[in-house]
Amino acid sequence: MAGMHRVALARCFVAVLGTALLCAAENAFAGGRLPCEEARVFSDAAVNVLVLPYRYEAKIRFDERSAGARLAALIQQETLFSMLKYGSVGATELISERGELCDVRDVLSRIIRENTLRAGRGLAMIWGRIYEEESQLYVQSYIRFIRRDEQETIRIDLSAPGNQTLQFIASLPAQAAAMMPRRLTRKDLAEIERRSAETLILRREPRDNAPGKSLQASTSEPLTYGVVGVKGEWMQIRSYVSGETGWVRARIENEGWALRRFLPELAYLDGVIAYLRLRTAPRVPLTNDPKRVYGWMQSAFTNFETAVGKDAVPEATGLAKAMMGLVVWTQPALAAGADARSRGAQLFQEAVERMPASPDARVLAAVTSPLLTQGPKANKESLAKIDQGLLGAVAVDPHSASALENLERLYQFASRNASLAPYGSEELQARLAAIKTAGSQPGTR
Amino acid sequence: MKLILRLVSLAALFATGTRSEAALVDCRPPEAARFVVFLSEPEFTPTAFSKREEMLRFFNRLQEYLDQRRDSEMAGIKAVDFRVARCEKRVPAIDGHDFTNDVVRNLYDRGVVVEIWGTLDAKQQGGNRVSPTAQINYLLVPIKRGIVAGSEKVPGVHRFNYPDAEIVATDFVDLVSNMDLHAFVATAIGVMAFDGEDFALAHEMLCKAGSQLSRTEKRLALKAETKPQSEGIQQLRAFLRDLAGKAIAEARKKPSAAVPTFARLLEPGNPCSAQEAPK
Repeated sequence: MAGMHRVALARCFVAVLGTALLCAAENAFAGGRLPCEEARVFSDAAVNVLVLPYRYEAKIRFDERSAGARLAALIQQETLFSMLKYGSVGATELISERGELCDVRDVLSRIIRENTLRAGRGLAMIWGRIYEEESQLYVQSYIRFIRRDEQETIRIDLSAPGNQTLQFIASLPAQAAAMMPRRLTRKDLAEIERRSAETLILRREPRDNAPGKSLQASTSEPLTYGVVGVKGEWMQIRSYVSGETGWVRARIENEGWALRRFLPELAYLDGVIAYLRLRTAPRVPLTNDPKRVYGWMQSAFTNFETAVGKDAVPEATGLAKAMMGLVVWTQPALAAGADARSRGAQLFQEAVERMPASPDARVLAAVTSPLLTQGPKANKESLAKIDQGLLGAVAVDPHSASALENLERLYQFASRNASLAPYGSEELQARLAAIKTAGSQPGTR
Repeated sequence: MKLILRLVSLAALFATGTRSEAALVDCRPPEAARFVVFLSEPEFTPTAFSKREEMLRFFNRLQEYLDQRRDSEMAGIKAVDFRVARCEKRVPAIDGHDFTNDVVRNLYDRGVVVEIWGTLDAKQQGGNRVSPTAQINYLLVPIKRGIVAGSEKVPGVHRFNYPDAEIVATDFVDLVSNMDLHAFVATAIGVMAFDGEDFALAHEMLCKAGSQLSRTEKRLALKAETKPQSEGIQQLRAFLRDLAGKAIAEARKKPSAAVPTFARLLEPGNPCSAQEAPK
């Protein structure tokens, strides 16, 4: 019963915080816990994270002592503290009180329908399955992210003689990633909880040796608080359950990350949050140097790849490369001395090396390929290369709308510029006709 | 040294009698499907699983994981109707000699594209299983069947030892559900679809498989001991590329209005376009 009161209090807190606290503090972040059926986010935060319950396959009801519930509480806590450094973020843990499935699609529909996620703001969701066998727990996580009413696309303009521009549009290969199952023992889980308690200290003053008390989420008392002050890397927070105030240090680097050592996907989530924070910066300005945020993003994805191996989850590591390429492409200042477009194109190539069967990764690499060698110019050589790359995307997915639309742009441009065209006029017309009929074939476009 | 360890481990396997009697009992997928992957019961050492019941719990989890396509790569072939059958008590001989022509023909006729079998091993540390290793065998049924011209010249059975240079894992599921399996499933579906004259599906799967296998080929080429396997994969890729070209040529034989877009845009001589051609 006491637990339910706390949940109700947290619910009330979230509602108030969304309209008041976050409006007042630009750099605010917050954490809370809500039932799935009442999922919402902190409207003014640039980026929100929702931690959905890890479905504990052997149980049907929410059991606060279950490994799934303990793990979800720890993930919310770890995520919150890793997000602090980005500023203007919120994290909410969702629980399934009646033991029903907390479906990510239902949660997302609710968030969109009820408009708690504002236009241009980012949302990352993490959820998973947990399975217990003997004394070992098997955990598989999934991550999905969006920016409300925004596409994760880039536009590529190639200049051509006569002041012409050939334009392509390409998008991220995916906005979701499935992680590989991880194994934890119950002993590991206890060890993670112990280490978290040691490292998460609410201090009376913003310094490491100030007296303090352990600040740890539990299944009965979530971390439910808001930021009331900032001093360097230290955040002054107030619990909305106990009213207690104190200072915690934002986690900048990886030291002391007990759970991340066991679940490297949390490093991946950190990289996704950095991506969203950089992408939302035009609407909610960053309080940090963008290059520093990009550095955290790089380091998070590199740590993930190092921990799991290059080929363990190539779809996820390929997507990470594409995300890094996309932010460098859209925010050239991040490239630190190098040519941003060329660096972006290189990252898109690295993405396609990891996920060669992804049509969208192939499109990204194809349309940016001229930037690797000669800059944004539409000439015979670059058009032939783009054509081959886009056809490579059609080969792995003949219904790829992105590949077919960009081929159509290419062939239309080539029809008007015979000297640059990779094919003769008749062949170009035949190809354009083939693309048009693709629209009427089942499963296309 | 690795070889000695493996031999010792296999000797232990046979000595403890955990290996079931080699027999190819029948197997059915959870639901009827156009294409089926047979997941056969693995052999195991006592350090991997103390008893068969324990292994079967893992086996259930693995089958469910693969069948429900809970990883992104397997989901990449989501448009294809295939299921993973849990073949309990079906334990092919580790060297694959059970797969006679009759057995392979029977599998092929039932839409089985790939059969997976192998051996699981691990170490014990403080009562927990650590450092899992696996020897996994893949039978590519349509290749082994040899019904499609050229398939008789390429290897239809592939054996891998995991973990290797890049495929690492904390659990057996990670070792079995890896990029090699996904590439082999796409390969076999592509070849079987070609034989069934579904040239659009064949072309797509063959190009997908070829691009995924190029990563496998490079990975295996990194070490001297796996170089011969890399060459086997290279041969397979060359066959797939050639077959993808034939799929385009066959699709073009339709009346011009019915020729699918891929066959109009891509050329039989360069069927997967920008994909790196096998050397």
